[in-house]
Amino acid sequence: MKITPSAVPRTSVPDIIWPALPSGAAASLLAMQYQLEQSQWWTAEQLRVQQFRQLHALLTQAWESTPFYRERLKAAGFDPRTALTPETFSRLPLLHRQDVQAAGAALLSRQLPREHGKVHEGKTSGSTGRPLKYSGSQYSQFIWQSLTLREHLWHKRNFRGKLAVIRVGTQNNALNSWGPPADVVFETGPAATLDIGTAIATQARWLQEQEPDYLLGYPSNILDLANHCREQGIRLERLREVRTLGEALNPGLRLACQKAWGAPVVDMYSANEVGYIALQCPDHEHYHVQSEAVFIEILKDDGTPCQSGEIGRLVVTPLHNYAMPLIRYELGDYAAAGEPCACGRGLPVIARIAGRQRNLLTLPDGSRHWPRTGFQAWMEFLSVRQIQMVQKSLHEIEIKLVVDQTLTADEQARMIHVMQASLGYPFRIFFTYHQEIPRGAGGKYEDFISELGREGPR
Amino acid sequence: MTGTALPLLPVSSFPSVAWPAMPGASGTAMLALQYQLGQSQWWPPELLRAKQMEQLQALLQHACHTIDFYRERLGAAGYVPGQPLTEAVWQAIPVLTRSEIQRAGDALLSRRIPAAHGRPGEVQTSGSTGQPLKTYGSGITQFFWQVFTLRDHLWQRRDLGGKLAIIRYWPDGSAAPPAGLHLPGWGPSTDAAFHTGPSSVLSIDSSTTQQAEWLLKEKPDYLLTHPTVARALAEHFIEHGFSLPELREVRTLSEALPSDLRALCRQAWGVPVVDMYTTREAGYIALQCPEHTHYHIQSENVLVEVLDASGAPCEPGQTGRVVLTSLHNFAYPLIRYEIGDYAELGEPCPCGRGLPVLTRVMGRVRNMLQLPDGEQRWPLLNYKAYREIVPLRQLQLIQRNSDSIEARLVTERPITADEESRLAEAIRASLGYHFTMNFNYCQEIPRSKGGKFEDFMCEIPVQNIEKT
Repeated sequence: MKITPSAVPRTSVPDIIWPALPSGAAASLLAMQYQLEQSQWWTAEQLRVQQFRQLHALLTQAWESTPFYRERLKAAGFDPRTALTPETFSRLPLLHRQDVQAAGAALLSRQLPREHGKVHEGKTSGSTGRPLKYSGSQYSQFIWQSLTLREHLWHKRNFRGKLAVIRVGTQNNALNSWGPPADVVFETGPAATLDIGTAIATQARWLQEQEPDYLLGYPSNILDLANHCREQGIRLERLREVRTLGEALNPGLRLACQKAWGAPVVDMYSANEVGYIALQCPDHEHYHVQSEAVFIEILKDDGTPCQSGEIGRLVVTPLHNYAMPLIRYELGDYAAAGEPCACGRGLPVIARIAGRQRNLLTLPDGSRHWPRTGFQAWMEFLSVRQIQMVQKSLHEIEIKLVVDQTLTADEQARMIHVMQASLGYPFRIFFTYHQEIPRGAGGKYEDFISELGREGPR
Repeated sequence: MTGTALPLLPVSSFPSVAWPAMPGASGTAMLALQYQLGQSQWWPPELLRAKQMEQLQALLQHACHTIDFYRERLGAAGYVPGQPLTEAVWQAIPVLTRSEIQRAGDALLSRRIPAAHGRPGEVQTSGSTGQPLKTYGSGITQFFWQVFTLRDHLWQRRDLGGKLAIIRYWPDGSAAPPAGLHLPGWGPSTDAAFHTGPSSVLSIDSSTTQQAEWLLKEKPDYLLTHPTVARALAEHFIEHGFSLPELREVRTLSEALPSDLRALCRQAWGVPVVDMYTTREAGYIALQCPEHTHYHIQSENVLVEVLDASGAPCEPGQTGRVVLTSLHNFAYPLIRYEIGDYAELGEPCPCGRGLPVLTRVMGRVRNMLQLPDGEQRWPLLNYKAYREIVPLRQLQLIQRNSDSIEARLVTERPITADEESRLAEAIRASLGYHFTMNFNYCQEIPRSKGGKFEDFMCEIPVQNIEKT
């Protein structure tokens, strides 16, 4: 009889193999999995009760140590001494991305409780072209990792398999393991990483060499890769699953991956400044809100909650980031609420997410690339409210900007320099200025548009 | 209190965070294990067995390297350290009897207990044959004991905020009647991870009347005690028309479960009985299924074999000797240890758990009846029938030889010759043979050291039984 792979954690006591006695860090992650394993089956009401207990703790902390919120909370009628009601919570004004951009350090906690550990900072391009800086704590990072692990366990991954990763911020590397949190808890197989800037044809060859069991990347890049592999007859025999994140799932992506490699797509919905928002159901293609980590509202334009099937603005409150509380944060994405899931989990369902959509860049030599826009570099010297890039021709890029002040000649020159370096070709770059950059069809925001030909399943 | 149980929330060591909880180090270790047990309980038997063999491999290797007794014994069975442990080698390892352990004593103690296992701690068992058995556990076996205690709570979905009353062997005198002992929580296994309600303890060497009065005062949600105590209490409550409205469950351990106890507890208090099979020297052996009255072997803690007279594994439906191997005791390994109990192996459980099933745990061979034709069987005493004849407080049957039984009894009043002969008939009927009956009236029939009470004992030496 074939025995299904069942992961036994790594043990910290050599002779005690099973059940394992995991080390401190691994035990913390597993103790959290124990809780997540239980809470996923709670009713929506049971989840809500615990979320409001935690929201109360978060709001109390923000009240005490984040000056930005004191007035907002007071005006909404919040009182740390009494239990938080949904009515009080819904009176709090929404926090827009522009507010976060403008508030800056005023959103940071002045007195982070010790147990939350060190604070880290990051930058994000944002899913609507509105870049911002954010901070998190070791504890919010731990919650992030706990959900990463939940996602692996939900989808019953074989940790012994090989993982290939094509994304930003990585080098071309062969690694011994999948990295944290998976390898903190489990013995994992190797991983290989490839820089996202690599041309699609090169990526395909690399994958052929790597023979991964799992592929992790961005939908726009993977769609092009799948189409390329199918056209070139490149099979990835070992590939069991494609994992996607970072962009809205292209409608044709699941079909393209199925046709090219016979592999299903498992999508994750997260944002750098927020963490995981929703993960694909183990049994369905829709998403479960990660209620243990975020409180989600999907609101109509009049501010009232959407009913299932309706599309509205996604408003997120991460429950455990006390370093930079984001309370009723309007992420900028749109989502459709779903019916309760047939799988039995009480975690609410998001049927569809209208987030960031992207085209690939085409270089004059005809090679296609996922567009790297160098925002990490230009955010250091430019304050941009919103940005969108349009490839007008093989040699020309338009940069649409929403800014408080028109760029100086020097700023333009530096921006052009950064862009040309990160896009990998000395494009002719010109700037246009706008009051606002509207969304595309279906509420999706296109941060890189190519007018050379739109991709889709071919 | 009734109604749907609230979700069970672990304790948080982070004052600023309400949910999900971040338990302290011991609670974290406990929940990390519960996560694993939550998964492994659903594994197919083959996978459980494979993981057990991996763990046994480590145990046998350690035993060979650090205990001469096992080096010889395992070597003779064909075990070579470092080579994979096969089922054939395993079956060739001789069964370890209690008397062998008694003779070997500290020779079974490892010379080099790995530091991570903690210091060895003595474990004394009362010993059913009157000879106490001394073994050793470690910090790790202690930890696993707590892990399975908690699994039982979680399986049975107990409201840990409720009150737990315990009537058990409590030798230090602190739980003496009438007040007993009052504790703030349920104990370290449970308190490390969850908020618990209070618990109260009464020593088992108290009278049924004292126990009943104590329970009426304590008003517990859960009662943990020996089956014979629970039975005496249930009868007492029925007789006096007392009730325990808060009581939700009777938890039993330490003695074979009498067949009438579940019905009696339903009648007395309207509650179910949840039994467990544990031993001091090997920890949790089997726990009652959350959905049935039979038991699941705790395969993550112990390898349980049920062997027939020839030493071959029993089939479902067969009763045989229980042979245990504690998977994590590296201080004083017990490898294929014949504990002396008999149990009936069951079919796989419809609940879906892959953990093997015991349908019945019978107790010791000395609790077996021997018929004059040599047949041995587990006696089923019919207390209901006996009690319809005489006002019985306690009863113990002792088989002196193949055709006579001594009945020791404690009654509320002297009984008549007619009642005695009718009782003799009822006992003969339930035992299935026309034994010569001798009656012996007592003030009290004491429990053995450790608080166990055995209602049937056969004093025919084991060798004689085996010869017949």
